[in-house]
Amino acid sequence: MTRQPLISPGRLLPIAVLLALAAVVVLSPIAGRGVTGEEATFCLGFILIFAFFAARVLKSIKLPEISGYILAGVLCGPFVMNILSLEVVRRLQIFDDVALAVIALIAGGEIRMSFLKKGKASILSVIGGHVLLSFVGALLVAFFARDHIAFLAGGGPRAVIAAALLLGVVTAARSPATTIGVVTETRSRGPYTDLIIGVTVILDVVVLVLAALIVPTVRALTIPGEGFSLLFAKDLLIEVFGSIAAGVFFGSVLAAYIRWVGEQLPIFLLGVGFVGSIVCRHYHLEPLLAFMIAGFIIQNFTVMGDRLIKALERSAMPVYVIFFAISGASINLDALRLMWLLAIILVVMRAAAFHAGSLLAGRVVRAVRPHSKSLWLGLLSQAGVTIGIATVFERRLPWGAELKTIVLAVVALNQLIGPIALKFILVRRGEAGGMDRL
Amino acid sequence: MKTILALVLFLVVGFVASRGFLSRAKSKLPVKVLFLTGVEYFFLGILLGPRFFNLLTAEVLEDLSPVVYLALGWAGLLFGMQLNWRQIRRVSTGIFEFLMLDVLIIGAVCALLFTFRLHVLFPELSRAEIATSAAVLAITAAISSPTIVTVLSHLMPSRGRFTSTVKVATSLSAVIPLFAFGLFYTIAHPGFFVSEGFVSGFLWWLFANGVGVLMGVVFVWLTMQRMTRDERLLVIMGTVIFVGGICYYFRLSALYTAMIMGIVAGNFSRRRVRMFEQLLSMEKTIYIVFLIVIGGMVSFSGARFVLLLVLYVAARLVLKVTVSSWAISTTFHEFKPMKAYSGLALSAQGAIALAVALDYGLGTTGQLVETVVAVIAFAVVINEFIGVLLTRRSFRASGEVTQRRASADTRNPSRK
Repeated sequence: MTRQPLISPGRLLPIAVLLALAAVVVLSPIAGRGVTGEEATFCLGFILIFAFFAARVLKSIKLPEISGYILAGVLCGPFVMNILSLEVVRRLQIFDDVALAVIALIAGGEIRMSFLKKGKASILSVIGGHVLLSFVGALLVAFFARDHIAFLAGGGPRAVIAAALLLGVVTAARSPATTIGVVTETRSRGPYTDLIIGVTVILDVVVLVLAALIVPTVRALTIPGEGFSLLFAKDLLIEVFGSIAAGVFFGSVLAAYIRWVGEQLPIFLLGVGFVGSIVCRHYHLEPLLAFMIAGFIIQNFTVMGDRLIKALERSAMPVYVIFFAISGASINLDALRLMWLLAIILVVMRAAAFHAGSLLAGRVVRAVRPHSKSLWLGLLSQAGVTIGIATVFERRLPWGAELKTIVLAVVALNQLIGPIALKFILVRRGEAGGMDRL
Repeated sequence: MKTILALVLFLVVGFVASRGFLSRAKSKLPVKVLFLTGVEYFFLGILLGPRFFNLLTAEVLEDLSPVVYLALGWAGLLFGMQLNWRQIRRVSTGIFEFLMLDVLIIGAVCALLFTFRLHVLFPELSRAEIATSAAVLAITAAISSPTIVTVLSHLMPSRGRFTSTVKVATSLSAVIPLFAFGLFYTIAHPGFFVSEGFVSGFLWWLFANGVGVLMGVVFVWLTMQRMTRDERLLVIMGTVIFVGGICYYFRLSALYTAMIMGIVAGNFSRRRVRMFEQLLSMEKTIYIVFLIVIGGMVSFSGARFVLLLVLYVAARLVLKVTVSSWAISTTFHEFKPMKAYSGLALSAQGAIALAVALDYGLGTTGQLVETVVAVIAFAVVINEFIGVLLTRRSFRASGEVTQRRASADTRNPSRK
C-alpha cells in the first residue's frame, strides 16, 4: 500500500507558479528599480494570492490558515526571499493599520457586557495568576541566566530585578489580533472561547498600565542617582487613557454612521480604520486598544452591534491575509538566530507560567476550573503590543535595545506556535464550529 | 494630518453629500442621471486636491497606489470579461461596421486636430510630447459610455431597434480605442527597446498582450480551484493588484493588460458568470475611487487649458453629430430619417475614458500630462451632463419612447 503524501503536490503548484512569476518579474533586467508605491502594489498583490494559497496548504494538514499567512510573510519577508523588503513593509503600513483596526473592532465587538458581568471573577483571576507567575518566571530566568545575558553580566541584584520586571511584563502580553483571527477562522463559540477573548483583550490594557509603571521603576533601579518618577510613566499612561478616549470617539462616529447613513458600510469601516490609525499614530495612541473600545461600545451600548460584525466579516478575509502576512514579514529572524537559546527558555518559561497561573486561578475561582488545565494553550500568541512595549523600553531604558532583540526572538517563536496551539485546543474542546476534528 | 482629513472628506462628505443630492434631485431626470454617474465625487476629489485643501497630495496618492491600480485593473478586467466570443458572435455585423467607421474617423480627425492645435497652443513642447498627448485625447474622444444610454432607456423608458443598437454600440465602443491605447502606450514606453518608434513599440505591444494572456491563463487556473465567494474575491483582488504591479515593472498599461486578462477569463473560465457578478458588485466603489483620484490629480489653470477643453468638447460633439450620425445611418438605413439626432445618443463618455486618462497620467511624465488628464476629466463630466440631454433628445427622435413614462418625464419640469 502506498502512503499518501502529507501535502498534495497539486496544492503546492499555485505557490510554485506564483513564485516563478514573481522571480521572472523581479529578476528581469528590464524591470524598474527602487521602492515606490507601485512596487509596493506588486508586492501586495503577490502576497495576497501567495499567502492565500500557502494557507490552503496548511489548512489541508489541519493547521490554522493564519499560520499560513504568517509563514508566507516570513518566506517573502526581508530575512528569506526579500520580496516584502523592510521598505515595502513600511510602504504597506497603511494597509496593515487598516487591517489591525478591523481586527480590533471585531475583537471589541466579540466582548459582551453580559459576559463581563458574569465572568469578571474568572477573567480577573486568570489575569492575576498569569501576571503574577509571569513575573516570578521572569525573575527565575533573569537570576539563573544572568551570566549569559550581556546587559546583566556583573549588574548585581538590582539589575536582575529590573530585568525580571521588564521580561515579566513582555511575557504577560498577548496578541488579541491573532486570538480573534483564529477564533473567527474556526468559528468558535463557547465558554472557553469567551474566557480566552476576555482575558486577552483586558490583559492588553493591564499590560500597558503595568509597562507604564515599570519604566520609572527600572530607571530608578538601574540609573545611579535617579529616583522613582512618574514622569517617565506619563507617556504610556497618556497612551492608555488617550486610546480609551479615542476608542469612545471612533465608536460614537461609527454608531452614528450606521444609524443615520448606513450605506456602503464596509468601505466606511475601512475608511474609519485608516483615518483612526493615522490619528492614533499622530497622537502616539495604541490603535489596537482604541478600536477594541470602539467595537465594544458599538456592541454593548447601541443596537448596531450585529450589523457592525456582519459588515466587518464581509471585509475580513483580505484584512487577515494582509495583516498576518505583514506580521510574518516583520518577524525578526536575525534576532531569533542570535538569541535562539534564550528565546526558547523564555518561551518555555512563559508557557509554564501561564499553565501554573491558570491552575492557580482555577483554585481561587470555581468557574475557571473546567478550563484551567488547557487555558495556557490558548494564550501563547504574541505580536504587535509586545513589540510596541519593547520599543518603548528601547527608547526609555539604558539597555532597552538588547532587551528588544530578546523580545523579538521570543515573539517570533510565540507567533509561530501560538495560532497552532489555539486552533488545536479550540477544536479539542469542541468549540470550533464546522471544523474537522484533529 | 492631511491624510486624516483626506479620508474623512473622502468618506463622510462623499457618502452623505451624494445621499443628500440624490434625494433632492428625485424629480429632475437629467440631474438625477447626472448624480447617478457620480460626478459629485469628481468635485470632491478636486476639493481634496492641491488647488483647494491640498489633502490629496502626491505622497498620499503614492501610498494609495495599490488601491488606484486595483481600480484600474478592475475596470480593465470587467470590460475584458464582457468581450465573450459567444456573445460577440450574436452582435450584428452592422454594429461593428458602424463602430469601425465611427471610432476610426473620430479618432483620426481628433488626432490631426489636436496635434495641430497643441502645436499652436504649446509651441515650446517637443513633437513627441504633442503627438503623445494628441493620441490620448483622440483615443478618449472616440469612446462613448453605455451608462447614460442604459439608465435613460430604463427611466424614460425607450425600447426598440434604435435603443438596443445604441446600447450595444456604446458597450462595445471602447474596444478599438482600448486596443489603440495599448499600442500607443507601448510605443510611448517601449520597455527594453533602446530606440523608440513604431516597430519597437509594436513588439512591446505584443509582449503586453503576452503578459495579459499569460496572467489571464494563470487567473483562470487559480480561480478554477474550489473556493468560497470571499476567497474568490480575494484571489481576484490579489491578481488584479499583482498585474498592476507587473505593469509598473515593465512599463505596460495596467488597464490594457487587465483587459486582455479579462478577455481570456471571459472566454475560457468556467466560473466567468460568478466572477463577472462579483466584479460588477464592486463596480460602483471602483468608479468612486476613479473619480476622487482623478479629481485629486487634475491640475488646471490658464487660458490654454480652457481653450483646449472647449476645443475637445466642441470637436467631439460636432463629430458625434456629424460623423456618428452619418456612420449609423449609413450602416443602418432605417435610422436615416433621424438624421443628426442618431449620433447624439453616443455623446456621453464615462469610466473607461477616465481610466485611460488615469493610466496615462500615472505612467507618463511630461509638461502636458497634467493638462491632458485634466481636460479629459472635465470633458467627461461635461459630456456626461450634455449626454443626458442629448441622449434623451435622440431617443425622442427615434420615436421609441413609450408614452406612459415619457409623459411622466415631461411633467417633471413643469412642477418647478
